[in-house]
Amino acid sequence: MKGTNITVLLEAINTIDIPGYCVFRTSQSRSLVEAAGSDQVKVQYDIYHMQIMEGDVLRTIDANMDAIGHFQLADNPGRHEPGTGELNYDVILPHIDSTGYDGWVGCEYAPAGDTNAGLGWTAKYL
Amino acid sequence: MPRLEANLQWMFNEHDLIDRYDAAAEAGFKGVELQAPYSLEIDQIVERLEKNDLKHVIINSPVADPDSGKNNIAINPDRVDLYAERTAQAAEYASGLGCTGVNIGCGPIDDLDPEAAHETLIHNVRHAAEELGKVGVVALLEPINTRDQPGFFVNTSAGGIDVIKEANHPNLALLYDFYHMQIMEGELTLTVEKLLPYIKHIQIADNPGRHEPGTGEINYDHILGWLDEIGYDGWVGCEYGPSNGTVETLGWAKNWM
Repeated sequence: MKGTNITVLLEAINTIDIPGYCVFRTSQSRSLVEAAGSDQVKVQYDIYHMQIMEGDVLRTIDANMDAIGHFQLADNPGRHEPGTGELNYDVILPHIDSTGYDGWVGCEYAPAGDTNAGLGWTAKYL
Repeated sequence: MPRLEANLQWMFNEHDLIDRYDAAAEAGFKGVELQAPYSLEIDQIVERLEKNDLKHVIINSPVADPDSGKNNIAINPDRVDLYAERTAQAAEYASGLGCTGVNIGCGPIDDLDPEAAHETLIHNVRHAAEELGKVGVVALLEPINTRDQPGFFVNTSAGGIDVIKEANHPNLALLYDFYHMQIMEGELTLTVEKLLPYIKHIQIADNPGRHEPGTGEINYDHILGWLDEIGYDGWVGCEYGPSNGTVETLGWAKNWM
């Protein structure tokens, strides 16, 4: 990707959905990204995966914001849209905004029903 | 249905300790918990419970070490006799107040030997479960996060269950605190569902900050509804520091009191 403006992203993934996945905590993805030693290599922090593996979402985001290049989200359990699980995205998304992050947040979830019908929560963030 | 009760150590700090019972009842709570009732007389508390028709759900054993001040006599092999004395005191209060459970303590490891601490804890939780059982009160073991209490010896739900299984006493159960477990491990809903047969008390606060639900990353509207769905009909202790006045920040609670 050298010479392009494309960022290489490394994502930790939960080992319940994908048993044996080798990078499954934020601390691991962060140290690998640091070892790569390039501004073009960043952490992809998936809130769903990290809630399953470690919790403490907002504090982890704050501590790793300098290394995060992309976010993905889904609620947990179920991997459906925000509002269907234990995470409070009404607090998490404004918190990400307050860190100064102005990148994209990928909605990597399976809608609980119809995709459009489950999009009410996004109105503030599109 | 889960029912909220007020932790009087953390909430209603606008009032003197004894007056927090009145304040909690006035705010709509039907139950309360208090870590350390020991500065008050049992009769004095019972009077407030009866006057306000309140249930005193749990208290904690007084587990502070007189020398170090650390709350860890439950894991100190040199303090086994003291732990037994303190358990007797907790049983007297819990029985007098009509509690359902006592948080029997654990504490930070500090410079204790981990193996000896483990053996001591197993011995002590068995003893506490036996003694509290004689007065009809459940012994509760609570894993606590190591960010707020560095070195806390039992700090995950799996660690708590290991102790409970090894101690193997029918009167010993898990106290699952959503706040502590969100800091240590996440995966709240499915963990509670899996461990439900072991859980006899629940506590909540949002994270980070340990304030009321709605101030952090945990969706308690969903969690309380889901606890109802899976058939948890025990108490849920509100063990949080209100962000801006206890009564002023209780809006979230009204459906679950």
